[in-house]
Amino acid sequence: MNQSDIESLVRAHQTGIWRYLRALGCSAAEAEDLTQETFLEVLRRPFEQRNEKSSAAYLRLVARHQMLMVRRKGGREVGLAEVEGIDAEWNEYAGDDGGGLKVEALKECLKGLDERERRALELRYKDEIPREEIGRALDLSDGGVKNLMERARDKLKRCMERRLKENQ
Amino acid sequence: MKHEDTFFDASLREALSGEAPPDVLARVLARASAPVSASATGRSSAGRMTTRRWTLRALGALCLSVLAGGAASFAAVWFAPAPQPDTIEAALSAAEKSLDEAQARVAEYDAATLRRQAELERLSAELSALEYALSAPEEKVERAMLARELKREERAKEAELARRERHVAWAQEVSKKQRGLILDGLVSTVGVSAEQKQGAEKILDGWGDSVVETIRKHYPDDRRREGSPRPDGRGRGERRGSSHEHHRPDARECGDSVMTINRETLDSLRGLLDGRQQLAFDGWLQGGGGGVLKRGTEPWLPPAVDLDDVQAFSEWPR
Repeated sequence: MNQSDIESLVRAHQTGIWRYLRALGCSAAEAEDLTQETFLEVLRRPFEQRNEKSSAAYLRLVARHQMLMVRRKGGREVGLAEVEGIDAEWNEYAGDDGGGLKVEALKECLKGLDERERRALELRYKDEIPREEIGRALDLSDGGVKNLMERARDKLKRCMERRLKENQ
Repeated sequence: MKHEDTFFDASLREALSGEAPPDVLARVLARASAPVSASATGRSSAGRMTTRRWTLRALGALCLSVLAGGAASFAAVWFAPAPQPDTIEAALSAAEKSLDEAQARVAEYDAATLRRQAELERLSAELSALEYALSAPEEKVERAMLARELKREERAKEAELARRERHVAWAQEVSKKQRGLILDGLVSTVGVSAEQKQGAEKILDGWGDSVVETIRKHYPDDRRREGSPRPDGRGRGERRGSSHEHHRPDARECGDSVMTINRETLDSLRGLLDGRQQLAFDGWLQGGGGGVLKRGTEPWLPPAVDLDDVQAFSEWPR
């Protein structure tokens, strides 16, 4: 592959691969490292860009192997059952843009949540605070936090789907 | 979907945290063009690293590579990505090709195993010949005697098998002739109907088959003979009695079985008849009818045995 081919390959797929790795449970930094390793691994072998979908599927396969290899090396056991079949589901979920449209839709939908719901989700997903501590921060029981977040997630899901349909 | 919530959470986390997917293009290009990879992550190439830190990291990497070399190699092979598939057909074709190659390897391995086996047998034969050439004269004599004994036993076994076949053929001939005579007697003396005759034919057919089968079964063709190794480990000189004693129970069993079959056949034939016919049947038997069905086992002795020759009789059915 010449430099221009490499550039177009990386530009087209880096976001999708990073999101895929994040969905597999990698931290942001780990996903970033593995995204690099994935492209380098692919470039070490003969590679031919046939079409976007097959290239994306192949890159995801390599990324998954990279992740499993790193985790095994680090002594972290990963059950193959956890990641088995995940690729097809991710492909269905993320679509052609690697999940970018969904993230954009969610950003818009978050604006529609009330303050309490938004705060609970931020504490959980942004600050990664355990549910008991969120309960103390919002003066709610553990069950109350769970219900609040479930309601918020449902709202967001419905909103996201509506927006995606409208944009189609 | 099984993982839909996980994917949604990942999207939500990205939307909430404001984190943006990274641009790794520059680092990928730099590392792809570098002759040797600078670091594991590539991010370190952007920063400055002290010599001490670099040395420590290099030493650490060396130790790790020594300690985890085997495991890492295994993991690399285990998790090596599959070749890039274009379509399912291409993947299937590749798998098929791989299977064919594996089968070819197995066939080659089998052929090599057979070749080695043949070679081993040849070497074993050569070794035996060498061992024989180096053995003492007494041992050579012993071996020659053993070989002669084995050959004699083989010939005896073949002769006995031939004898059995002759005996069976003869028994079939006898039963066929007797069948016709008995049916004639039943029609002319007892006065059976056509339907009863058909039933009698079936019974007599079964009788002939049973007698022949009994003779064949009780013939000691597959028994070990004197001198040959026994399954229980007894060897020469340890055998149980003489061959004649060993086989006599078989002859008696055979005779008893034939007599039982004869009795059952007579009962079956009698069962075909009404009361008046049964009286005539009994009278016919008392008057000497019924042929070999009525008589003992003598008619079934093999034709080669002369009853006046005590030696020949005592050797039957060896």
